[in-house]
Amino acid sequence: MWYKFDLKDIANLVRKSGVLLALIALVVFLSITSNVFFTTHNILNILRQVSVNLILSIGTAIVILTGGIDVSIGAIMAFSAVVAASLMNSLGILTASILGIFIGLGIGTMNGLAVGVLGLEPFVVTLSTMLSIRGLAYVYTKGYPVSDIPGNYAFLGSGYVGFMPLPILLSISIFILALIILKYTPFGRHIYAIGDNETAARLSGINVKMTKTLVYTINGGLAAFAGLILVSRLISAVPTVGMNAPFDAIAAVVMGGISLSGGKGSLWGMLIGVLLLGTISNGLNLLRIQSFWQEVVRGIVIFIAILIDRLRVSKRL
Amino acid sequence: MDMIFEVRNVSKRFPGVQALDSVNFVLKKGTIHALVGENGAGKTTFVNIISGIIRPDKGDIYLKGKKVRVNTPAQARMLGISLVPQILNLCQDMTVAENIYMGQEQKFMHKGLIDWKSINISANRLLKDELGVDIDVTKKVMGLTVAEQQFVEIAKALSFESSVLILDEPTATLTEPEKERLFKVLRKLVDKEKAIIYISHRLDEVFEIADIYMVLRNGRVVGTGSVSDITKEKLVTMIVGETVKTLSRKSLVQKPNKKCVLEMRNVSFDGVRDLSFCLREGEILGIAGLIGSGKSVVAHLLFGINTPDTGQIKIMGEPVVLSSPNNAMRLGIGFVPADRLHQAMFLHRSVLENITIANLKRFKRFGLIKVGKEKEKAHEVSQRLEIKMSSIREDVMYLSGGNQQKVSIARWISRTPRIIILEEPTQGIDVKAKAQVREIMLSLQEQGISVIAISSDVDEIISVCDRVIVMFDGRITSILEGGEVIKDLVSRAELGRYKNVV
Ligand SMILES: Nc1ncnc2c1ncn2[C@@H]1O[C@H](COP(=O)(O)OP(=O)(O)OP(=O)(O)O)[C@@H](O)[C@H]1O
Ligand SMILES: [Mg+2]
Repeated sequence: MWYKFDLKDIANLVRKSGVLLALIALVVFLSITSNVFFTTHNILNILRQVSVNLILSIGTAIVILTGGIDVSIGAIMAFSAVVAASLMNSLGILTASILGIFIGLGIGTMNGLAVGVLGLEPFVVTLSTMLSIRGLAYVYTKGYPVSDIPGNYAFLGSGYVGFMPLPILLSISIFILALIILKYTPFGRHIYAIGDNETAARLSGINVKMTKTLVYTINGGLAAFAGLILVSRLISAVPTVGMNAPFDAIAAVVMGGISLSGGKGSLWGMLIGVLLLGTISNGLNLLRIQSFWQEVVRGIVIFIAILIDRLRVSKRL
Repeated sequence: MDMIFEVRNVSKRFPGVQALDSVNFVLKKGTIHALVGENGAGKTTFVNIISGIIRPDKGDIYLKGKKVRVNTPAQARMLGISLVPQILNLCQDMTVAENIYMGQEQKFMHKGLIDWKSINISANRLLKDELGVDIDVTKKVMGLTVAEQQFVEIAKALSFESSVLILDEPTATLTEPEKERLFKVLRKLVDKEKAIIYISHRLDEVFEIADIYMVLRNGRVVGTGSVSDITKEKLVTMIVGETVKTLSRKSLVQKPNKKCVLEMRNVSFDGVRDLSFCLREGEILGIAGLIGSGKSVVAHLLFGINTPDTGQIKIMGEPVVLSSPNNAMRLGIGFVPADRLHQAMFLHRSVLENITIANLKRFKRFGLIKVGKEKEKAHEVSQRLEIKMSSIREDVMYLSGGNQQKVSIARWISRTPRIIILEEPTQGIDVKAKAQVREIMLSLQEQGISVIAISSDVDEIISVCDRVIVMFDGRITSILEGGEVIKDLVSRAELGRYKNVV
C-alpha cells in the first residue's frame, strides 16, 4: 500500500531531476575512465563515505522543509564528538556516546526554542550557535585532537555486518525511518504543512512552535550521531571536524529538489544529491586530481546540476 | 456600439482537463459582459489568458480589429486591459498605497524621487472617495480582512484607467451596500465608454448590472445573449445543466436548545468593544456587518487567534482562555477562515492532505497514519462537495478558486467539532455548491452542533440562520431573531440605520 506513493516520487525524480541525470552521466564517465570505479569494493567505499553526509542531510532536509535552515550542525558534530571521545576511557564507550548524542539534542533544542518559540531568524540563530559551539570545542580541547580513544570504538565507523559496512546500514536505516515519519505520521505532515503555509498550519490546529523546536532537536541529535561515526572512523576527534558539513548537507538537499522556502520536495531527491557529491569526491580521487582543484570542481558540478534542474522545470531542456 | 475586443477560438488544456475549448468572445464598448459558470468551468482561465497571465494553446486576440499578443500582464496593461484577480495576490509586507500604485511609481516622481505623500493621497482618494471604503492606506496589507484586500485590488485595477476592466468574483466577500458602491463605480466607467468583464456566482448581480451574459461549462460556451432576454431560472439551468432549487427561507426544524454552549461577555479587542452574546446549542447564528464592523475579529477571538483585552469567553458555562487555535480546537471549536489563501490553503500539498490535515489523529494507528482509511474519508467528503479535480493527489494550487473553497470547508466538516465557525463559507462557490453547503449546515445543526456563520451574503444568512447578530463599527447593534430576519432589516442594520434594543 504505502510504497505506491514513493513509487510516484521516484518516478517524478526520474522524469524531472537533472541531478539524477548528472549522477548517471558521472557514473558512466567514471566507469569508462577508471577501471576500479565500478567495483563492489569501490561502490561500498563511496557509500561508506557518504553515510555521514546522508545522516546530516536527513536532518537538514527536515529543517529546510519547515522553511528553516541550520548551519550549526558542523559545530554540534565537533563539540559532541570531542566531549564524547574524551570521556570514553573513563565512562565507557556506550555511556560517553549517549552523552554525546544528548549534547547534540540539547544544543538542537536550544536552536529550536530560539526559532520556534522566540520566533528568531533561523539563519542568524544557528550561525551564532555555530560560532559559540565551535568555540567551545576549541576551548574544551585547547585546540588539540582527542586521540586517546579505545580501539574497539572503531567498530561503529569501520565495522561490518556481513559484507555490509555498519555506517551504511545505520544511515540507510535512518533514511528509511525518516521517509516513514515524513509520509505516514502526523508529525511529518505537520513539517510539510508548516513549510507550505505557517499561518494555515497554525489555524489547522498544528502546534507550530513544538513541531519547529522538535525539528531542530532531531537535527542536533543526528549531527552528534554523525560526529560519533566520523570520530570512530578516524579514531581521533579534532575540534575542526565538520567545517563544511552544513554546506554539504544543504547542497545535497537543495540539489535534491527540496525548496529552501520550505514545504516542497522529497528525501529521495536528497539521496541522489548525497550520492552525487560522494561520487564526485571519489571520482576526483580516482582520477588523482589535486585536492585544491577538487573543491573547484565540486562547486562547478553543484552549479551545473541545479542549472539542469531549473532548465528542465521551465521546459527549456 | 462598436466592438473593442474580440477573442477567437481560444483553447487551453491543463494536465487532465480541457479548461477551455474553442471559446469565442466579443466585447463591446460601454457594456458589461457577465461570465458565469460552475466552479472549474474555465472562467478564471479565460480572463487569465486575456490579461497575459497564462498563454492559450491556440486562439487569437483582437483589439480594435488588430491582432495582438498578450504574453505578460505588463503587455496587457499597455493594451489597456486590467484585471482584479480572483486570488488576491497583494504584497503582504507593503502598504495599501504601495500596492495600489506598484509599477506606476514613475507617475509620482518629484525631483527624481518617489513622492510617497502624493501616492498616499491618490490611493486614499481612490479608496475613500471613489469606492467609499475607509482603509488606512499607510497600513500594511497584512492584517487586512479579505473584503478590504478585495477593495485594494479593485482600486489597483482602477488606477490604471484601462479601457477594458476585468473583475473575477470581486463581490465574493462583499456585503450588499459595498457591492452597490462598486456598481456605482462600474456604471460610471460604462458611461465613459469603457468595457467590463464581470465574473460572479451571485446571479442577482448579473441581472442587476450586466448587459450580456456568457455561460461556460467544462470549458465550452453553452449559451450567450442579452441579459434582458433570459430569466434567472433559465440561467441557472444553463449553468449547471440541470434544474436546482434556489435558496428559500428556512423552515425551523426545531427550536434550538436554550442552553449556551458559548458565551461572550463584554469582550473588547482592537476596535471591537463590549461584545456580549450567547451561542445556543444546535443553533445557526449569523453575524453580519460591513467592512470595519469587526465581524471577522469575533471569529479570530473565538478561535484563539487573538485574545481579548478585556471581557470573558465561556464554553459550556466554564470561563476559558482561548490562547491558540490548537487550544480552541481542543475545546471543540472549528474554523473555516475567509482568507483562504493565507489562512487555509497548503497550495503545494494534495487535496487529500489538505482535507485531512486538521484531523490526522482520527486515522492514526500505532503512531502511523492509516492511508487507506484517510483516503476513503477524503474521497467521501470531496464527493459530497463535488470537488472538481483530476485526482485526490492533485496539488490544491491547481484547483479553481471555488474548488479550493470547497476543500477548505471539507477540512472542517470531516472533523465534526462541537462548535463550528464559518467565515464567508460560500465565497466563490457556485449555485449548486451553495445549496450543498446550506444542507451541510442544516445537517450539522441536526447533529446538535452549533454553527456561527459570518457572511456578507444576506440571502445565505436569512436562508439558514436562526438568529443574526448585526455589527456596526465594532459593536453589536442588533440581534435579529426568527421572523424578524428579513433582508431589508439586515441591510439597514449593516448600515447602522436600524437599531434594535439588544
Ligand atoms: N495551472 C493549472 N494546472 C492544472 N489545472 C488547472 C490549472 N488552472 C486551472 N486548472 C483547471 O482548469 C479548470 C478551470 O479552472 P478555472 O480556474 O478557470 O475555473 P473557474 O471557472 O474560474 O472556477 P471557479 O468558479 O471555481 O473560480 C479547473 O478544472 C481547474 O482545476
Ligand atoms: Mg475562478
